[in-house]
Amino acid sequence: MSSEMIGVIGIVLLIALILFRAPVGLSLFLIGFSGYSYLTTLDVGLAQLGMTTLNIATSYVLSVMPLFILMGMILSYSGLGRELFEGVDKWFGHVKGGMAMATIGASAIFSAISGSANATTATVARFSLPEMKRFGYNPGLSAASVAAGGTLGILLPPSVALILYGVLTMEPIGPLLIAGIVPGILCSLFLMATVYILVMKNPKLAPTGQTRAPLKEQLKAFTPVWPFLLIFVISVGGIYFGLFTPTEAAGVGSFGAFLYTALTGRLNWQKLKDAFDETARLTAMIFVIIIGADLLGSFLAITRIPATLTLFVADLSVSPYVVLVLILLVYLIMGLFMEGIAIQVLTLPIVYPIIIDLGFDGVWFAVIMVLMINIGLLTPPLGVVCYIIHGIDRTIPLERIFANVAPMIGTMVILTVILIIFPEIVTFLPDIMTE
Amino acid sequence: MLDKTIKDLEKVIYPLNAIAQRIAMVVLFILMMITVVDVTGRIFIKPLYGAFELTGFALAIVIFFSLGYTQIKKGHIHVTFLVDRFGKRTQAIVDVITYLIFFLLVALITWQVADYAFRLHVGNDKTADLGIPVFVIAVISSIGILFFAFTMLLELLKAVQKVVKNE
Amino acid sequence: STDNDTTSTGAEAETSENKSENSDDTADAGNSVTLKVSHFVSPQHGYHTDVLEPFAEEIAELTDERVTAEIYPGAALGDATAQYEMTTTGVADLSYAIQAYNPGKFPLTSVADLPFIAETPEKATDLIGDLYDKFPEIQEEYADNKVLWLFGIDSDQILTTEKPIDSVEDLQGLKISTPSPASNEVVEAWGATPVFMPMDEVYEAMQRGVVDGRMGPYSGVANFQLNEVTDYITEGDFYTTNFVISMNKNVWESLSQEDQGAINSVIDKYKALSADVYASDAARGKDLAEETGIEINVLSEEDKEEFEEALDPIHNNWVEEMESEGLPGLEVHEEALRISEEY
Ligand code: NA
Ligand code: NA
Repeated sequence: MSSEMIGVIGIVLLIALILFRAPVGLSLFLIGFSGYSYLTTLDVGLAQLGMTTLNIATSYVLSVMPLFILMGMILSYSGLGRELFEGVDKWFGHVKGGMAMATIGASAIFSAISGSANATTATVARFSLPEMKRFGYNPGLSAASVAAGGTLGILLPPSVALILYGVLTMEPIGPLLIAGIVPGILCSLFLMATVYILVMKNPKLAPTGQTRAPLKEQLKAFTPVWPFLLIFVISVGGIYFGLFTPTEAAGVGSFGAFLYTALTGRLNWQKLKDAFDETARLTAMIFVIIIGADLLGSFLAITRIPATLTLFVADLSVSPYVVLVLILLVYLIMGLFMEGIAIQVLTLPIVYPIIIDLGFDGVWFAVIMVLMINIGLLTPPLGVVCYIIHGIDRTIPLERIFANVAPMIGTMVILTVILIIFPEIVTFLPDIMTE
Repeated sequence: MLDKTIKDLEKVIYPLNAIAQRIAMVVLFILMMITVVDVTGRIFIKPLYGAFELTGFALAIVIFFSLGYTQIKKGHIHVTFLVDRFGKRTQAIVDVITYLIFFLLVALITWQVADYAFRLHVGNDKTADLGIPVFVIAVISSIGILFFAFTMLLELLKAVQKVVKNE
Repeated sequence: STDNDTTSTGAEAETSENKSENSDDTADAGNSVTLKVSHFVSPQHGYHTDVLEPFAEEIAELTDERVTAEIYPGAALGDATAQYEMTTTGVADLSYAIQAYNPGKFPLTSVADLPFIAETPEKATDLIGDLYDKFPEIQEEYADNKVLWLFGIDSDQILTTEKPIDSVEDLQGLKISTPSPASNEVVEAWGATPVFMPMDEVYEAMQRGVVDGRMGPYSGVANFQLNEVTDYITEGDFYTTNFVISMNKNVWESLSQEDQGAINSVIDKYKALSADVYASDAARGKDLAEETGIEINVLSEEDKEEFEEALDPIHNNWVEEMESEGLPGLEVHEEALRISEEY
């Protein structure tokens, strides 16, 4: 049997396991480990199991996750999140679906700068989901807004994905980072419009818009939340202005939240314990999935599926646009099962030269590819941000989260099509910059 | 007989994982402070020596010591809509099979992290700045995963109990 | 019929159950294997395109396709820091690893990472090779794997964003991002603040001013496009970084003598090529830096003196540490200095 076939069988078994109520993270572990063992030997698979588990869990860069989650938990348990949404209601409550749109915007900014879709989802979901529910929003819509918003940061600078693209293809990194800005903002607006359309078609999804709060009330709504905004500005702004790296910002942000809420008496001992307890558990849950996804990724790498798929498409002699669409399709398929960085590393050496040969712009393609990877973050069976949301609010069934995210994915596909038809939307800003 | 075994095991495994969770929470606090001391130190005096490697160690402890308690609190993710439609007995049988598989898997992970610890010890691997032997964190991690394995064993026995009771 | 030959891995080949069907052709020649070759740099990196790919091709040709290779770049099979261990355990069959990523595992080897021991890739590669051949204690450090070759690369320079560095004085209080613990020591000895950082964070850290500079080689400037975020380079060839290309022992032993011989026959060539590729990447990096308008300050021997003096204690500390662990630190250090000076 070919190694590619083994990979396909592995994926089928994975889906079967997940459907049969097996724990998702450990299912990824099991298939990754058994597949690697099957294609090598049991001893090798076992060694890989131990090494990957420990190496990922001790990664400095990944500590950004528990620290940002902790910040969100503390703000949430202290009641600051509640007050924040009272303010959001004053500002956007008169727009139908306004709170969900504001959440998309907030997620986009937070993930843009924190650099982690997972950390953003966990942080924002923890205080926004209960609040939107309180205001009468449909939980599925709220979940989809947080999830889709969280993926946007990968397009907006700083972006590890676009830097990696630069290193993998030798495209200059500066223009790549600039190229993500307009599509990133456009994608946020498109997603907000999606919420608006969804609410228009089904008014039960969001509360009826009230009359617009007067400006005085809107401004007054800031009073209780300024500490929240200050913590946000210090930690997230600190990254932007070169005070610290994302990991450090997460530590400073959680400490700032801890200090402020403790000193103002908003956080008693019990709430403090609850915040740490829940953060630790959420971290454990997320890391089982992340380590499992890595093991699965290594297995799929040695099945040669990514290379075989891309080479197959490359060898087709059809029109450039058909090849492009097929390549994007391959990215969507791989996004079902694999993480973005692994996908880039395994495919770009083959895909990038083809794209250039076909006459497409390398910087433009980076943005299109990142959009595909973003979609992958939202699709089952490996859709980590959706799992995180389910981990935070168990009352929203997973299948419902995935179903509600579907229109958001549709929007991202539409945006991709627009960017293919009008590549200038992506390239004009980097072009101005390099002139 | 099975009922009593489960009760007895719970009396050991629950407190064990509750303690582990407390440790994870304290280390999470330490993880936060490592970064804070490092950053403030770097801006005003000098950075915390070894912050990079201490952060990695702390993260591992938070993750692995929280795994078992997360299991007890049903914190790991499952897709339930299909199996929920099955009869109670079928559900129980499915659970026996999955928990048997995953108990064995977690036991394997425990063993392999411990085995890696052994190799790190023999290879004399140390951290860059502080020169801490890396096997230490591997041993600590495998203990955390072992507690997780205990909770999976308990889930397995409970699933078996359900099958037996539904007969 | 199956295509086991392409799916079977080296590690599989050494098990008793050899699934290969066309054993008629290969019975005398040992097993057919497809080596999983693992590294952690980009597939555009010169080491991938100009060393590992040609190496794989040549081996396949010399062994009539009995030994082929599949290269997995970008840490697809495991962390940069795990590469050597991955080969020991068979997760990869052949890997490209930096010894300094596993402190403590290659103690005597680290003599070659000390400041001002080797300035160019050629010298660094010869030096580490000579030391390996001479000291069984160094060979012992690699006992877990079959070493194919060792090599060193172009030396680290000081890259800064806003401040030109002409003297040790200029470094006081600057935050300098570092790639290894060895460079932490160097940066600290100069009175700057080291900020240890993986390569993928450096671009943004420099762009946003999280750090004021980076210790890095010209080849790294080329491969990670640091020219886009650097304004000044102080060229002092301060210290090199050493690498090991090694194979899983069981896989190596599973090969026929003929195939082992074929691989052995090209080792010297690819060792030399390793140094060449880094040398040309370094030249390319320097060209790029000049094209981008980066101000390059090449330190004269006199300018260098104060940088060297500040680093002297690092050498003494190294010897003391080795001796305290019962290793022949003094002897290895003397020999390294001798080779370095005679070169
Ligand atoms: Na970003
Ligand atoms: Na997915």
